[in-house]
Amino acid sequence: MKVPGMRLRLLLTLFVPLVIFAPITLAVVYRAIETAITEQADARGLAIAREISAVVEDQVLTGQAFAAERDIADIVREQPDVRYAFVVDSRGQVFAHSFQGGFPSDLLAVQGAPRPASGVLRVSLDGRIVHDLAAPIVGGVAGAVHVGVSARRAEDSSHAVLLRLSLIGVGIVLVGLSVAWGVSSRVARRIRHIAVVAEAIGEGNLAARVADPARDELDHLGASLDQMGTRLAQASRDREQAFSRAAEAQRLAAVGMLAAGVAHEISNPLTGVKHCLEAIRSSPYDPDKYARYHELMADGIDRAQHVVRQLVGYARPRPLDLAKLDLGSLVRRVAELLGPTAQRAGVRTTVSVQDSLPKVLGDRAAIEQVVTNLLLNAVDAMPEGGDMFITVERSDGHARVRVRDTGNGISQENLAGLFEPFFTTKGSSNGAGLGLSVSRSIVQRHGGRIDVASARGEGATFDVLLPFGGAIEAAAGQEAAR
Amino acid sequence: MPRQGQKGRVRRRAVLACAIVLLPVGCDSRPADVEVDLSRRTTERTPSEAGVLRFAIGTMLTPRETAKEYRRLAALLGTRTGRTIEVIQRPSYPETNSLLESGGADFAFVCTGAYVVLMPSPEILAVPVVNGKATYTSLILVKQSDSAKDIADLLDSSFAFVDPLSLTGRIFPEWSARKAAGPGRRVFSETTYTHSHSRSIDLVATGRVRAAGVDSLVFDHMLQNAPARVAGLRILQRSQQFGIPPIVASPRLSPELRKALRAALTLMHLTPEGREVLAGLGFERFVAEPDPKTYQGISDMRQSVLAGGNRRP
Repeated sequence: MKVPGMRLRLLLTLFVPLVIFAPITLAVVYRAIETAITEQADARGLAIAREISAVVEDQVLTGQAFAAERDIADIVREQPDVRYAFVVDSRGQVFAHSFQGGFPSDLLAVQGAPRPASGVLRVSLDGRIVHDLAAPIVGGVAGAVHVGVSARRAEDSSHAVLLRLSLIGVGIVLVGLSVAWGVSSRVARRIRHIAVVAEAIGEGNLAARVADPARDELDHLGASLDQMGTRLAQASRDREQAFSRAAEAQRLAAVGMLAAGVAHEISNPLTGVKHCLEAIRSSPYDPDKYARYHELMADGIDRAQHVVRQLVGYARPRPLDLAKLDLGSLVRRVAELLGPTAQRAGVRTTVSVQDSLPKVLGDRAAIEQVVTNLLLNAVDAMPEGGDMFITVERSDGHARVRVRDTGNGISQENLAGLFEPFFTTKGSSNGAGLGLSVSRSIVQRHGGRIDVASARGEGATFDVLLPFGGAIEAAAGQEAAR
Repeated sequence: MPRQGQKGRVRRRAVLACAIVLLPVGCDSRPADVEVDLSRRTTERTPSEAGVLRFAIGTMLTPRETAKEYRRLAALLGTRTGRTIEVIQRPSYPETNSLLESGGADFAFVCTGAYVVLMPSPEILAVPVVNGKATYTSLILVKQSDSAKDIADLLDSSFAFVDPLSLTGRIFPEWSARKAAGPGRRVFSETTYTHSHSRSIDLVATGRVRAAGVDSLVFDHMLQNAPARVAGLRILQRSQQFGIPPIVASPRLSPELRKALRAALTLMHLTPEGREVLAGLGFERFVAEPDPKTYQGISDMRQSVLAGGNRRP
């Protein structure tokens, strides 16, 4: 069911009570006025009856019927709405009356008819309603005067009042409708405006404002929304500044950390080279020492070169050479190449590859580097030997290479920095701490990710997830664009 | 179905609301209490029912006072005689006398002056006794502040008469004034007939006339029951004792009814309700045979007045 709009609901809320209560009020007012008019007409009729009673009292008591009729006729003639007046004597007989051509015999029934509390009898004179009012003569001892007042005049007055009240009612309803329409439109418009501003703020336009001077509740609501927008804009600016400062601090920290790592990794072999040169200088003619130190210096320079190459590879990676790869074969070959190393470390290697696994799109050398890093890390994690399980399988739309070792595992605090550059737990002689950083960079460039799960004493599991199909091609597209 | 039920409820509520709105505005369509066909007319007055006794009362008081005071007397007489008594008043004593003579009244309470005119024809049924006497007097009233010492001081003043036939309200005062003024002289500057002793008293009290002659019975009754109305008045002159106004029978009234009415009147004081009615009228009782001498000389006094004071009673 369609819910009526705010304007219509407001309009109905304001207008419907008016439409209901205005006619009720006017009807009650009309009823009261009509009653008052009728009572006033009846009171006037009774006053005329009493006046006649006073005038004709002596005439009735002394039997002067003609004089009484003359006086009655004079009084009735001056009252256009008095249809008749007549006097009944103590015997209940008509003593005098105002009718021409004889007294209507039916009218005598008003004497015996029971009267309501108002004292007014409704008499129909050939269909025309007349209110009969009676006034006693000498307390009823000498009879009574009856006066018939036409109900028409009171009805005409009442109808005139009804017409005016009806016009007033229509006017009230029309004015009420206009006011209700105006109020509902204005309120709905203002609410809609506030809603538009709220939506704009919600969509990020923090400069949007209601901008209505506060006069009533809706203005206060708009002002509150404006204040909220102002605070949000300020908060947004503060946050951007904080982000900017944090990014700068992070960048400086990374540069510092990188510089420290580079310095550390290069400084060590250079120090060794320096020591060798000093040793050679102290014994320049000792061929054995020269040969031995020459070899040590060559090793030191190799190590420094290795660090520099890795760093360059991390900082400025070469473009990927994408091709369709059989990931299972690739992993098996790397495992075979590293087999002797694992054996020397007392590590048993188990490789498991899922059948008919689709090929992935990737750079062979880069992927081999990633797998090599993971296998060497696993071997390094088990200095006293253990088992290394390598599985290649489909997982959640990806090709997954899982390398699990049975080493000591990785602590929670080390897990957090595991993929950061120059992060290592092996000591300076066993790695520069760039292997996992470079591996993650390579996998991300392929559209994949590396996950790690480990706990202290329970070994570690590294998952490399590489996408099949379109995702790989999308990654390839991005790579091509890069 | 629930939706239809809801619509039904809404419709019923709308009808109820309309009814509430329109009910008070609805025209008054109550049927008339009395239906009158104006084509059915009557021009004749229904005569008194057969057997109704018509009791004419001279307006010694105002018609209103008379109707109030004598209604209970009439009712009691009706009870005692077994007949319905209809009280009839006429604006003047001559008209009351005319009713008696024409048979329009069966019996009447008439002023002594009016009775004297009819004498000896109407038979007295009974006369009231007041303060142990069946006589009354005429009082010449002025305001207490009036400087007049006797009626001679009222000559050429305004004067209120009750009725041309009234003994105490016209005949005695005029006779007395003419006697004081002497032959051929105008006695009062302006006279007015009030047709009621109580009205004459009110005219003097309000200063509309300087003096008036009234019935001592009416004055004493008013002094007892409405002292404020007579508080500012003074009795300038009091007449000799006259025979009290009698209740007389029409010549056409049957002897049996005369007897029954006389018995009802004269025995009235023997019962509590009778005494209550008598007390309301200021009477002690009724007696059947007044002293004839008290009515003598009144006719001559009237004739003297009619002759302009040239005759002496």
